[in-house]
Amino acid sequence: MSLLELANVTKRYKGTRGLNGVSLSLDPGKIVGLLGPNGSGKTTLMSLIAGLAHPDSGTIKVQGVPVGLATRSLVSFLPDQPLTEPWMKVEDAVAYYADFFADFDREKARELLSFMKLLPSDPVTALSKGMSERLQLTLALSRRVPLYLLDEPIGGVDPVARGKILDAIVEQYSEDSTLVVSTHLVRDIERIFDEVILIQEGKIVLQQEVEDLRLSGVGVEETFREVFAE
Amino acid sequence: MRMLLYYQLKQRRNHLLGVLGILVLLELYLLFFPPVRQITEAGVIMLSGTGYIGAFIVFSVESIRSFFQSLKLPSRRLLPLRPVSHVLAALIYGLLGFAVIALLALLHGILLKQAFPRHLLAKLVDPVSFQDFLAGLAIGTWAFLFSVISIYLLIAFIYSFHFKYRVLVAIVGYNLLLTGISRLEEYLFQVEDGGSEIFRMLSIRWGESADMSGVNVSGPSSITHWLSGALLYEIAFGVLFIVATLWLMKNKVERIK
Amino acid sequence: MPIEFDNNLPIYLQIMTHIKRQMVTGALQPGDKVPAVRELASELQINPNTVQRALQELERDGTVESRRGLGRYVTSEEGKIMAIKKEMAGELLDRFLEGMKELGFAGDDITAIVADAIQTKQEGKGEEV
Repeated sequence: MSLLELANVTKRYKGTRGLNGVSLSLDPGKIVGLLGPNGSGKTTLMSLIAGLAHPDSGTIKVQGVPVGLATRSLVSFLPDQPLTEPWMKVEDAVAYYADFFADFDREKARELLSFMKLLPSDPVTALSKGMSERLQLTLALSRRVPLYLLDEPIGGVDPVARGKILDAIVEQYSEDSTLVVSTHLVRDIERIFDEVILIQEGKIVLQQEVEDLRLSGVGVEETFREVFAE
Repeated sequence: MRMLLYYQLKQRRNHLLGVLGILVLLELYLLFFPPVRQITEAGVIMLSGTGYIGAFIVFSVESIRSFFQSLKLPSRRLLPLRPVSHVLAALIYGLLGFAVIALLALLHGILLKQAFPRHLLAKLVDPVSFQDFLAGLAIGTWAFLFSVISIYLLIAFIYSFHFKYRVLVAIVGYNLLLTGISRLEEYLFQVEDGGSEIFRMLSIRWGESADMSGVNVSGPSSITHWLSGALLYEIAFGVLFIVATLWLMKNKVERIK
Repeated sequence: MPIEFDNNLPIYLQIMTHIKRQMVTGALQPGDKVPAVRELASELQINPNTVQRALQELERDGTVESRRGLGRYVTSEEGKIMAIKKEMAGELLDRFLEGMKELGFAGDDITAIVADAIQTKQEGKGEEV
């Protein structure tokens, strides 16, 4: 059974945004790149899988379970909005997720915090953008779940923080879970992918193993540029 | 649910304690040093009442704010909790604040009766028995619940749809709905003055604290009247609002980009 | 040990080459432990599954051996290193010959040029000593 199954999922927002009849299947144990320009539907897709939005039609299942309360404990989502609340210190944020999620691994969180050079006593509102992204990632990765969804985890951060974040992803990734990472920055991150999904105007245009893509002589970046060339 | 409630209290504890602190200080000040020379007796009574009403409003807003966050923040929406847990946590959060205010008011009243019989506020509480207090408390609690629940529905509606004038439509619809409910109630139960039973009761409470002479909420009789169908009618709508809110939360509410 | 990966070639092949090169240069000795998958993955900042695949391929062609519960070790088989050297030499030669062909050289011409070059190199070395 596949880990994630989307059948004919449509979600319309105003204009061209949203998803248009997306069907998709993901196996466990993969790092998957969800690639596409801004506004192509990456965030919509992730929000639907996480249950933060509802499809107009079609079905989404995680481990065979339709998205809903039951899949909350199967999916760890790093949205494009913070997972923290302004009143929190770093330690409060960790305690918050540990209190609510039985699958939260405090030990892992502690390791990641020190790896990310985050101090437990820092208030979240005082963190720089890069540090805040690191904290968000720490919270999302510290849960032990079959499916992680990371929406643009390296979006607005400098190259140093970017490297740190990629390190953390590779380091914390466990072979029996699947990690979906959306990004429009292909070059910096393509090496950590097993598989890429290219999405354009709410439709999936390609889903392929990265090494197969390279074996055919066309790398991910080149494919990306070819597909999304105007 | 309990954990969510815990975090709501933890998040807002300074704010909540601050509001209660101000209320207590204000009432203590009015108790020991009533500034009758500066602002007249009526002014003192007004001020005392305003303290309680202000705190009541703050806690109502807190309850609504907490529900609002449950719909808005990813940190709340992603939690493995049922919609009903979010609603209950926000309601109980507000009710706790309300209970503390009621407790303070009770202590204040007892203190006035026992230790300050000559205080100008004592005249106000003198005719009010413990039963009256309980009746007022029941009415106030229901008024609080009904208004907060209806606003939850309003917020859930706004977070469920994406058309352009949803906020306007929601507010107009909300007013029409409440007006319709109260008109129907008047028609069905021959409630004398306009407005919903709740708001009528609320206005009596308001009068109680603002008008020094007109304190004649006869507890037992108003409770009997209240139970005579109008309350059931309102409870039915309250339940309906909650069911609608829960349905929206499960099926429609999503973040607005 | 930083590697410059070419993103347009399969990464697992590049990792295999990288490890074989280390064996040839002596950075990895026969019987040495090969770094674990996770270790290599975070060191190179690449997908653990890709590293896994590279090591499995190396295992299949006998370059590394897996000892149950202990990890992977560079083969102690003497012939293997020579085989890898020959394999790499073969690749170099292929490229060289192709280049020479483009320049218009063939057969004996090439042999002569190579012999000449070796001669010159050795003389140069001799003077240095």
